[in-house]
Amino acid sequence: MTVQADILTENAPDMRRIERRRALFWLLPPILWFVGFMLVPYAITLFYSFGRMDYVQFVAGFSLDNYVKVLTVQPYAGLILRSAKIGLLTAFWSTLLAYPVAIAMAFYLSSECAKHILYILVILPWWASYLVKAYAWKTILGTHGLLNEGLIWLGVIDEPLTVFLYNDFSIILTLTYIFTPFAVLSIYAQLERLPLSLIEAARDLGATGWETFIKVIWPISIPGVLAGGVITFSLGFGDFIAPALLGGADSIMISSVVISLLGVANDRPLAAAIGVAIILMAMALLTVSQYLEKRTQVRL
Amino acid sequence: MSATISLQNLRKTFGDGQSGHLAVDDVSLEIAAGQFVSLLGSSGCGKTTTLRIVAGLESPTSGRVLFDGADITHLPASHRDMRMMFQDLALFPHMSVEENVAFGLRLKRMRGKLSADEIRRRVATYLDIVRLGEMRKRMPHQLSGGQRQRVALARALATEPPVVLFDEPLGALDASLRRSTQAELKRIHRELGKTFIYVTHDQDEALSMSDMVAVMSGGRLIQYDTPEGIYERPRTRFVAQFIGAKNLISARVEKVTGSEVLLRLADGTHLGAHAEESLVPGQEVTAVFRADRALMQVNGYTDASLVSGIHVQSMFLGNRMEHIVRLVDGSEVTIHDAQARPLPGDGGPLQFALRPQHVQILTK
Amino acid sequence: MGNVKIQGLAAGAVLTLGVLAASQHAAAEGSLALLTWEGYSDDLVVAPFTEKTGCVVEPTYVSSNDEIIAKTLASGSATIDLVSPSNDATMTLIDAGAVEPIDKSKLPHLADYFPVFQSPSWLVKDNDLYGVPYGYGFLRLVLDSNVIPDAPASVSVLWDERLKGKLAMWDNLETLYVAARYIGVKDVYNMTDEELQKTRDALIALKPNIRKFWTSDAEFQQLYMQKEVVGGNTTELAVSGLWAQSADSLKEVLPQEGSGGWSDSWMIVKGASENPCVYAWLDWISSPESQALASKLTGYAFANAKSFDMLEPEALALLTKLGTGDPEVQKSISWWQPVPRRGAYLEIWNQVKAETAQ
Repeated sequence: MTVQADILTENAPDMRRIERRRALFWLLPPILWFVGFMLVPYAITLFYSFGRMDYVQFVAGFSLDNYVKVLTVQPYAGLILRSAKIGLLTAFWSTLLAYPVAIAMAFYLSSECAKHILYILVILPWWASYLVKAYAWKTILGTHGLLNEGLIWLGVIDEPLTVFLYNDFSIILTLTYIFTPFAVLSIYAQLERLPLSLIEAARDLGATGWETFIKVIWPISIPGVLAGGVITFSLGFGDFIAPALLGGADSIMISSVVISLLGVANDRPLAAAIGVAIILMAMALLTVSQYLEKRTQVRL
Repeated sequence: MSATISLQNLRKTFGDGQSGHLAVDDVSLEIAAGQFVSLLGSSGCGKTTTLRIVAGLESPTSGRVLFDGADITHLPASHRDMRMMFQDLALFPHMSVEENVAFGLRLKRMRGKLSADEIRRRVATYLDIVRLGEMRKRMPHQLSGGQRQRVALARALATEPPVVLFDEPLGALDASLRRSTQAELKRIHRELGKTFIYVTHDQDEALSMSDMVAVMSGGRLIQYDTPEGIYERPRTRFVAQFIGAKNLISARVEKVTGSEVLLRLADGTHLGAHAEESLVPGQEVTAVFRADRALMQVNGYTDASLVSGIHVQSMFLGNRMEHIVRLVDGSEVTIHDAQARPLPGDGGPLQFALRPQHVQILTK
Repeated sequence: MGNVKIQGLAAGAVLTLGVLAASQHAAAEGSLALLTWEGYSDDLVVAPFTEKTGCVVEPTYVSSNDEIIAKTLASGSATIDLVSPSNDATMTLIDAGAVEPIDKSKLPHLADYFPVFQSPSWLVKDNDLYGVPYGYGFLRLVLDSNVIPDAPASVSVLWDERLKGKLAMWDNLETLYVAARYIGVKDVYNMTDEELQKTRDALIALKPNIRKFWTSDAEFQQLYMQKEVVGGNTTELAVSGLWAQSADSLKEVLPQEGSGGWSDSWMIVKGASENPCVYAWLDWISSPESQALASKLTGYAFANAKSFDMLEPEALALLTKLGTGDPEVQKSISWWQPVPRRGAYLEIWNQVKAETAQ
C-alpha cells in the first residue's frame, strides 16, 4: 500500500506537467494563428500608417498626416461613406431576401429531404467562382443581355435599356446575389434554435399567422438578422471586384482606392491609414451589433 | 364554463400510403363537461397525437372532433376555445412572466373584448391562482422548473377557455415537485370547473388526478373507465400490466351466473371471479388479481375462494410483507400482507383467499 | 506593358505571395534571374537562348512596376540580374542607383534600333544609357465611325455630346494624361496643382460620356462587341483584336494633341554585370530574330527596326496600318515618363472616379 502511495505522489506532478503540455498542444495553433494572421498584420498596418514615403522608400515615423488626409481630403472619407452605403444596401436586400428562405427552411419544410435540397440550393452558387457569377450578371443585365432581350420580346420596351448595367444598381444586385447565402445561414441558424412548440403555442393561444410572426418569430430571430446583416455589410463594404466588373464610371469604392494607392502610387502609409480607419469602423460596428445581439438574444 | 368533447372514429396516419405509420387508430371518446380525463399510455401509443388533434395542431386522417356537439375538426387551432399546456411548456423566452400570461389576452381576437385594465386584472388573478404574483416581472430563464410550469398553466388558463389540454407537462419535474403540482392541478380543476384533458405515461398520476382514464396502446383506445374501474377491473392483459397488476392465473370457465363466474384452476380447485363480458363454460381465460387483495387470513369468509401454492420467498418492505408464491401450474404470483407477519421458512405450502370481485377476467 | 498588368487585381495579390516565396535564390554561374512580365520569358524566346549560351533562365513574374522597383531596391543583384520595367518607372531605378549603365559596345544590335529608341530620355542619365528598349506600343483612340462619322483629329471628340454614356476609358493615369493634353498642358508628367485641377474639371466634364472604366484589353473588346460602348482610349492589342473580329466601322482617331506611349526596357541590376549571362541575354533579346519571336508571341512591336522585316506578312500589315513602326509617328508620341507626383495624380484620378456623373 505505502509503495503504491509513494508512486502515486511521485507521479502526480508529472501528470500535471503532461496536462499542461497537452493544453499547450491544443492552444498553440489558435494562438499562433491569431498572432500570425491577426495581430502581426494589424501591427504592421498600424506601423505603416504613421510613416511616410520618401520617393519609393518608406520612412518610419509618427505622424497623423495620413489620418488627417483620410478625413479631410477627397475622395477618401467620401468613398468610405459611399462604400458603407453600398454595404448597407447589400445587407438590407440580402437580409430581406434571406429571411423568407430561412423561415421556409426552419419551419415550413417538414421533410428533411426538402430542407436538404433547399440548403444545397442556397450553398450551390458558392461552388462557382465569384468572377464567374459577376460575369453571369453582366450577360444578363447588358444592353443586349437576357433581360433586355426578354423585355423586348415581351414588348415591354422597344429599345434596349442601358440602366441595368454599369451602375450602382448592378453592383448592389450582384453583391446581394453573391452574399445572400451568408444571411440565409445566419438567420437559419438562429431560427433553428426556436422550438416549433413556440409557434404552436402562439397559434393555440389564438394568434393569427401574422401575429405569431410579429410577436414570436421576429423578435427571436433578430440576433440572426443582425449577424447576417453585419456579415453581408462587411462583405459588400470591402468589395472591389463587383465595382470593377459591373460598376459604372462613378462606381468606385474604398477598397479599389486602397489597391490603386498600393499599385499605382506606391503610397503604402496612406493605404494603411485607410485600412486602420476601416478596421476602427468595423470594430465600432461589431461592438454595437454585438451589444444589440446580446440585448435581443433570448435564452431558449 | 366548460364544454364536452367528443371524438368520433379518429384516425391519423403519418407519412403516406403503405409506408405510413398509423398513430391513431379508430379512437372514439366522450368527455363530459367539467371532467378531468387522462389519456394514459406508454410513448408512441398515440395519446399525444390524439391530444394534438383535439387542439387542432394536427388534422385527423379521418374521424371527427365535436365541441359541445359542434364539429370543429377543420377549425384552426387559433379558433378553438381550448388552450394547451405543452410538454416543453413553450414559454415565450423574450417575454416576461406577465407578458407570457397576457399573450392570449392581447391578440386581435380578443380586441375590444378586454380593456387594458381588465387584462392587467386577469393576469394578476391567474398569477395568484398559480401563486406566482411576485414573479410577474421575471423572464422565463430566471425561473425554476416548477415556476415555469405554473407560468405555462396561468397562460393557458388566462383566456378562460372551457377546455384545457395538457401534454405531459410535469414530465421534467422531480418526484416530490411532481406530486405537489399534481395536487395543485387537481385543486385548480376543482375551483375552475373546466374540462381538462391530460396526457401522461404515469399511471399513478392518471389514477390520482382524473375523473376518467383512457388507456391507449398502439394507437387504439384499450379501456376508458374511472380510475377505480381501471385499477380494480382491468379489461385486458395490457391494462392489467400497465397499472401494475402482475398476478395472472390461467383457468377454465366452469359456470357463469351473470357477471359472476366460477373458474377451475389447474389443480382442480375453484375460484370465484368477475367478468365484464359474457363467457361460456369451458372457455380458457386469464384471471388477474392485485397483490394487495389477497387475504392471508384464509378462514372465516363465505364468499372467498382459497388458492394454494408453494412459498418461494419473502421480502420485508416496511409497511408490508411481500410473498412470492408458486402455483401448481408453475406460474408465480405476488401477494402482500399488510400486517407484515413473517412466514415459517421458505418452501412450505401456502394458502391465501380471494374474493370474486377482486378477480378480474381479461378478455385479451 | 506597365500598369495594364496590374489589373488582374485578385490574381495579382496571389501572384505577389508566390513571388515572395520564389524569390530566394542565388545568381550562380550559368544562370540568369529575371524579374519580368510573364510574356517576356516564354520558352519560345528563352529556349534558343539557353541552347546557344548554356545560361539557364529563372524568371520571377511581377504584376506591376512598383513591384519591380520595390524588389530591386530591396534585394539588388543578390537575387536579381535583370529587370524589365516600363518607361514610367525606369528613371526611378536609375535615380536610386539600383541599375548599371549599359556597355553599348557589347550590344551591336542597338545600331539597328529605331531612332527614338537609340537614346530615349527615360533611359539616359549623364550621357549613360541605362537600359535596352524592348517591347513598346502606343495608346489608341478609337470610335465607331457609324456613330461619329466626322471625327476630328483631336481628343476633343471624346467630349462630343453624341457619345453620352457610350465611351469606355482606361482605368489608368493615361486617361488623366489624355484630358491634360486636351486642355493644352505642356508636360503632362509634371503638372502644377492648377493644371491638375483643370485636368480634373475636364475629366468630370467627360464623365457623362463614360459608361465604363476598362481594366483589360479583353474587357474593352467585350464592351465594344456587346455594343455597350462605341469607343474610347485603348491598346493596340484591343484594336487589332477588334479588327480581327470584323469590327470594321471601328476607326482610329489620330489626335493632334498626341498619344501616350509605353516602352519596356531590360535593365541590369547593379553588380549583376559580372554574371556573363547578363550581356549574353541582352545581346539575344536585342537581336531582330528574338524580337520577331517575341512579337509573334505577344503581339507587341519591338524596338529593333529589323525585327519588323522578320514578321509574318499579316502581323507586319497590321503594325503598318497602326503606324507602330513608323519613325515619324514614334517621334510624335508622348512617351510615358516617371511622374514625381504620382500620389497627387492618383488622388485627382480617384476624385474623378468618385464624382457622380451629371
